[in-house]
Amino acid sequence: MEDLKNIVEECVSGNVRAQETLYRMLAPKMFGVCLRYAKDTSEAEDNLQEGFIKVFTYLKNFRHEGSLEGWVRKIMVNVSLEKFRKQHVIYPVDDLTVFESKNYSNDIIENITADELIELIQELPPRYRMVFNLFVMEGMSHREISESMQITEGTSKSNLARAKDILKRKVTELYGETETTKNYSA
Amino acid sequence: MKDKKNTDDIIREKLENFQATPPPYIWDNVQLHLTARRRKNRMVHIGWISAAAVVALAFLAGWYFNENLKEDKSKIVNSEIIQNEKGKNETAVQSEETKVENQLSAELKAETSNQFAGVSPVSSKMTLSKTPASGHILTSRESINLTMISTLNAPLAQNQQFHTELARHNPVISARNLSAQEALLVAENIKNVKASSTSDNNWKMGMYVAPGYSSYSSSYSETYAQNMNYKGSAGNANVGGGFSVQYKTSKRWIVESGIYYAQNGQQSENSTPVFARNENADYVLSDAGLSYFSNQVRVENNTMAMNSTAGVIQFSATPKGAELTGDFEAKNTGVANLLVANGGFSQVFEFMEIPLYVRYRVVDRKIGVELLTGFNTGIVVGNNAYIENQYGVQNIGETADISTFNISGTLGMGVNYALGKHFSVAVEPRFSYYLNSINNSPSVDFRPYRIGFYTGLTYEF
Repeated sequence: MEDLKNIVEECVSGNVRAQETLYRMLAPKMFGVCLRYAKDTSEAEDNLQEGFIKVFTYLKNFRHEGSLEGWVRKIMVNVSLEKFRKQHVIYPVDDLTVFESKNYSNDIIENITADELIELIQELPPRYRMVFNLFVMEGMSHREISESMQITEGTSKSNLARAKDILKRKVTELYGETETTKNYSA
Repeated sequence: MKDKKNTDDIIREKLENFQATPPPYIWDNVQLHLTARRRKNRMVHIGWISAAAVVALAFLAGWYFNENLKEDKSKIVNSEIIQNEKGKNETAVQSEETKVENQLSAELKAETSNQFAGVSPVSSKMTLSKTPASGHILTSRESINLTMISTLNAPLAQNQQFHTELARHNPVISARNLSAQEALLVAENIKNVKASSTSDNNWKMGMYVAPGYSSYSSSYSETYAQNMNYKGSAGNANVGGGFSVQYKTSKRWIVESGIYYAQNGQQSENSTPVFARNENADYVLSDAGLSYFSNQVRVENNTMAMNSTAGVIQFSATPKGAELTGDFEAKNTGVANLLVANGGFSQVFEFMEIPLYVRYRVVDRKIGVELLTGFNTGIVVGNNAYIENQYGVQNIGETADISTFNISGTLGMGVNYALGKHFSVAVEPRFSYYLNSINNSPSVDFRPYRIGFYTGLTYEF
């Protein structure tokens, strides 16, 4: 813990070696976060780069009160949110579409790898992907999501349902048959 | 409900600790950015310090030359002015003074040439010492760029391969698969985006009317002052105006130029007549109730000149209601050198001003507040002298030795209100002060200033 504090202090005073240590420590996990929020690897790389530039610029403001990882993660999420806001100017039109949701089984998601799941999340339409990530992974409420994305709460709820629906449908389409065979043989 | 919770938990567990190794060039890029930012910050500091130093130097230089000019002025004889008759030794004294003047101007010339000779080697030294340093920076930058390119190339190739594989693995959902509602939503968003898209143009044009008040600060050589009509304290109320072009260099900084018309000038009174009651007495004020005022003038080759506040007025004709007489105090004079007139004189100068201003937006909202500072090149386009007496305002001639090109400094503060997307109204009190004497005669230092309320309309493209 003391070590981390020292590293942070060294980073703030401009020590390049300390900055690299901190980067190596956090980059893999943060790249994982960025990959979830981005449409592809190249966008995730851009966000990771931009995020770390922000981390080192504002590190002097970090008060060591919460976890550093949480603080850095918040910056990564904010960079992705900012980029989303810039790229997708969305006006508050209520999207309360009711979907015909099939009752997909949860097993099907349980059986695919994290890599595969991330690829599927990346393919979601941008707004669905954003709502899905903020709700499921960051644990934000629909009210918080509606404020940070400038959409209505109703839209947030509907988008989340739609995102999950698409995910499950895709998993079934891509891996459904294999899973069925596995189940039978088990 | 249970299913919903489970799905979320499953996904969260799967992804919470997901890690992926980012490509190595990300760190290189982060590092490059941080170094560049540090360098930029340093440059900004250096920039501000240099700007402050230049301003300080300019003020010091202005003050230094101003002080020197004042000292010289008292020694230099003004050849245009008729001397008061002070005694029989006048001729001798004058010739001595002329000698002093010649000597002085020779000394000044020598000093100036020495100063210039001293300056040039320093500046050439500076350029020489700078060249190798900048060359070094360039080469180091080039090498950084080259290393960046080489680090970028390899991952780019990797990326391309990855994307081809990804495309083969996961077919992209085409637009045809979108539901009707989604299609509607997309159409609505596109419409809104188009409606709200504004062109991001940084140019602005403005039109101003500027009622204002102008006055001046002045000083004179001793001989000039002795023969001058009464130095007035009143200024002129007048109306100026013009067009401006502004360019936004960043969110808050704006550079402005344009063309403005402004009037400057002074109003002065006649001298209170003084005369000696007898040969040995001091000069005394004339008795109360005398209805005339007198001003010393020089009449020569059918021209008449009079020392006034902003410089020597050269008459084009004798004004109505004024008489020319001999000096009351002169014992044996046959020369008419007194203009007896009842009325006030004014000297009015019209300027075309081309400004170079910097504006800073302190408040950048619907109601905005801006600070403004900069310089004007003031070109004299009108030079007139007037007398106002019982016959009305008469144009009597012009002021001699007025420089065509002058420099003034301006400070101002503006409040503007946006009327819509493009138009805004603005009210800006501005204070302009001429940094040089607009009269280039060494005997007169006349610097007009003006306070104007610039009211106008601006159009943002």
